[in-house]
Amino acid sequence: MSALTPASEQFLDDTRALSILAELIDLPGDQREGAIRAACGEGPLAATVRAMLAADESADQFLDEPPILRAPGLESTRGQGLSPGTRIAAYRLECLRGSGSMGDVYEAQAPGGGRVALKLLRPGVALRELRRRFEFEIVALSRLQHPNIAALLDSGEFESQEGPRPYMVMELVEGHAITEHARARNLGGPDLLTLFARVCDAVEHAHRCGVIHRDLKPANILVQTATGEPKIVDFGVARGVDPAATLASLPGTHLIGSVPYMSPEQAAGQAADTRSDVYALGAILYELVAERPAFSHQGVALPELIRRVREQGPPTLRASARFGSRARDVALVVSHAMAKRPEGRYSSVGQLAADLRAIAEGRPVSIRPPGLWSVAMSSARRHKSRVVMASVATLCVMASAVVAIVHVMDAHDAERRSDQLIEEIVRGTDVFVVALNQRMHAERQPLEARRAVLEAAREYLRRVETRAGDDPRVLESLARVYLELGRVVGGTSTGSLGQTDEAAELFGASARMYESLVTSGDTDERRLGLASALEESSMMAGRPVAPEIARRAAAHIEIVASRVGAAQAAELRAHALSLLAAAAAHAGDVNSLRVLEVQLAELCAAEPSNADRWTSLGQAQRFLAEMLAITDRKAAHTIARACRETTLHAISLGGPERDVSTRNFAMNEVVLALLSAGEVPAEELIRSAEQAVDATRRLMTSDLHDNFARSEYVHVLLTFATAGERIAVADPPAGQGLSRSDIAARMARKVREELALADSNRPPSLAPYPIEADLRRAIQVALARLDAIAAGRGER
Amino acid sequence: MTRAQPSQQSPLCVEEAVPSATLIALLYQELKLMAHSRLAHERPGHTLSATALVNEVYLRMQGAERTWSGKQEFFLAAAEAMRRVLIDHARKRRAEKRGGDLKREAFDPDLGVELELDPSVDAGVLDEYLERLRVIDPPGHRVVMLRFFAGLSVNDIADLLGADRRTISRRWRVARAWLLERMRHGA
Repeated sequence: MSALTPASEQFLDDTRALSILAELIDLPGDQREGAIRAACGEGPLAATVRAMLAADESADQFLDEPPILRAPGLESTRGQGLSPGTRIAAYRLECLRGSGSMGDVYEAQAPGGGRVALKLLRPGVALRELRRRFEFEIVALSRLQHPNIAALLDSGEFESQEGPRPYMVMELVEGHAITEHARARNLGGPDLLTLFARVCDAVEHAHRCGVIHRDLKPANILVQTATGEPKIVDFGVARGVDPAATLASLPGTHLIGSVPYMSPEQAAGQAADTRSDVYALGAILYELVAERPAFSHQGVALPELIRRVREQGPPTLRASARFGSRARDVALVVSHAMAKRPEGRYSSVGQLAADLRAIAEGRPVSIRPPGLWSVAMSSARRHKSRVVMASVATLCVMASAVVAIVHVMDAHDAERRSDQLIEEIVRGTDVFVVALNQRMHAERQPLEARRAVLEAAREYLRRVETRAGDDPRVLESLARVYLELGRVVGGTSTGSLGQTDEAAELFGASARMYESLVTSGDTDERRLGLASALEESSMMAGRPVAPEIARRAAAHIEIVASRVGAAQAAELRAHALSLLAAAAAHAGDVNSLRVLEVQLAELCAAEPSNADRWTSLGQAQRFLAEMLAITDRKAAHTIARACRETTLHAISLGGPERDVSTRNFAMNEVVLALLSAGEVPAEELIRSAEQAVDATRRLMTSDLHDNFARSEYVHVLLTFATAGERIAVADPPAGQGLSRSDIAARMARKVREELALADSNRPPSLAPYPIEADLRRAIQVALARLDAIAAGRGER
Repeated sequence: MTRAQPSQQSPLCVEEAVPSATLIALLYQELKLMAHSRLAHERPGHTLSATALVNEVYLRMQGAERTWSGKQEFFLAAAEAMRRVLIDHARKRRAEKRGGDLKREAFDPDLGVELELDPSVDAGVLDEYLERLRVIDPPGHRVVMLRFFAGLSVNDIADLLGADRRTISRRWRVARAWLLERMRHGA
């Protein structure tokens, strides 16, 4: 059984505290203490409730006034700034230069007459936390001495009316953000790269001194107007490299930093390391080269932006003509620095700087085009998730890119199978697969547009196949394209076109190619490719899982897991376990499923914030509860309750699998209703099951083209209809004024309404999953039984 | 009408309308346009509350083709849209203030107006905790959204959601106490 993790405990504690607070808050002050003791004894919960009551009493105007909009032109009337002339220690303030999240920055005069920047912590709600961060910045900066880092000159504490406020004095940097500087000077080519390499040097220096910046962005990198030197100016959210030397985990800071430059791991709320700074530098370089940010926050809500940072790659970087023949290398360096997974990036900032200088000086770079390993890993993770929303325009661009590649190949026809041709094919395929992944899995992409790209893909394949020969590199490329194409045509991914027969052939061909590749040379990439092809074959969209093939896929994943580092191995094993769990569920193998559930729970406990794993655990638990519901109601009930906790935790973690978890939660709630028949009043059970059905419908209608969501919704309807029978005939009848026939009639009506709704909003062009027909037949059987009960014939 | 306490409430208990993404996006544009047209040409410093803005958009859009199912959905969507306007604004403002060319005003060229919030509240942090509240206490979250971002009074919210005034008032205080506690002390 899954142990509760700290995160889910926090979740439960908060929920409990909120409900206790709701009971206490209207009581007179002198009765509260007794009520707290009665409700939660003397423990952390009591302390939480007391703290919240205290917060309520001191809430004052908090959130009472809605935001105020003001016509522009007049300075803000808040009056938080100190007036010019104010003395802080030996410094005389001259003017307010700006305000950051932590405090205000003034320009000031130093005793010797020189001008400095003075940063003063501002009082606010999160004072204690800000103070710790501010003090850490002082400590971190005092360790750093680098010409490209604004130097710390002095620090201290200033007695203000609001109490002591710490300040720090820094070198004053007169200049502009690096992006503005580059734009204004029209900087490009070697000049831009060497300028940026100096920024990298400064970050590398910080890393060597044990400081991670964590919030690198153009606004924090100024270029001094007088000298042209770049300077990093803000270490406000930095942390130590050595975990023992860092601050205790800062509350509420897991989303700190600026999202467009934030690494995916930071966006996922995980810890940052030096490679997170590598990513941020890559994102800034992207912006410098492309002259637009990798991820734009214009008109995008924060959660959506975070989702994009975590799941999507930035638009393909087309380095401008300013980089001449090295444009491709520049794009390669940027994409290597911006790899989604830290292992895929430069392992140090120094290596990034070295490659930038290599390009500037006309030497070759240290990296090759992206290896299949990273692609295999990321597509294995992506296959269930929902990705990207692309416009029809980008799809057209992609289609024409494919045509261009085909032309290149035609041009090389004379030197068939020359090394250069093979290189082109492999490179073209890389570009192609990435594009296919990003564009085709788009949820709201019109079917016609997806089909158009598919046609381009087929054309591409025909051309390559006729030229391929038996070069293993080409074979590997083809195996990948078959796999990706299969996913789009009829895989389990969101946005699949549901053409399962064609997809089955594609997956089969891909698996055969990978198999022969593994025999001739056993690499991780090939084995993972083989595993992915088998996995897709085993769970063809909307068909029952083929347990035997799934087990073979899991075995290949296990072989790779035994050869790689611990972190990757855990990731791979979790994936294999979820695959095996699906297989066991479909094979009706309760005992295996029980073991797998325990193993998954262990992996979850090892990484409480890994949403993918908790999603898999929740699914395994729901499978188990459904299977046990027939044979062992008590055990099923326990598991279903655990499943509720697990899925709630997974949902609270967010991430791409959130919808999957939410659906899983809903399905489990219906199972719980079924299991509680006879114990809980029927009215309540029906209501909760109806809500679950409504929730899955809402999730489905958010994307009419999502066949996977649609078939899960029909599955929920089947469980609902089955539960209806159980609730209606529960002995003793626990309905409150509801007769058996009332219950049966009400639930049958609901199922029929939902089926009609499902039909009315199906896009006519969407081929339904084969499994949907099976589910619908089963629903008709269940409906007939409900009708019989409704007519007074079905009672025992 | 009595309503369940949060603890007994299934997280799926969302009887109220769920505003569509399209409506939210539409209102987001509409709020920004309306703010601009009301303020951009006013004398400097002239103010307008979010409450007035949301109500004006409501009145104006009533005449137009209805794209929402009821008043409830409209205000829930408007609160969500207002939240986005505020968060976008706060983010832009922060980026600007930290930039090389530091400016004093909280002016948003895109919005054409200044937007301000209690200076002791960090909009980003508030947003983050609101997201958590959405998960652990959906009804409380809804009340906070309607109260703060759409500027509705407790009575208005009670009418809108078909609940009694005391329940809404309690929800408001409980959710606000949780937010304030967490924002002050973290966790």
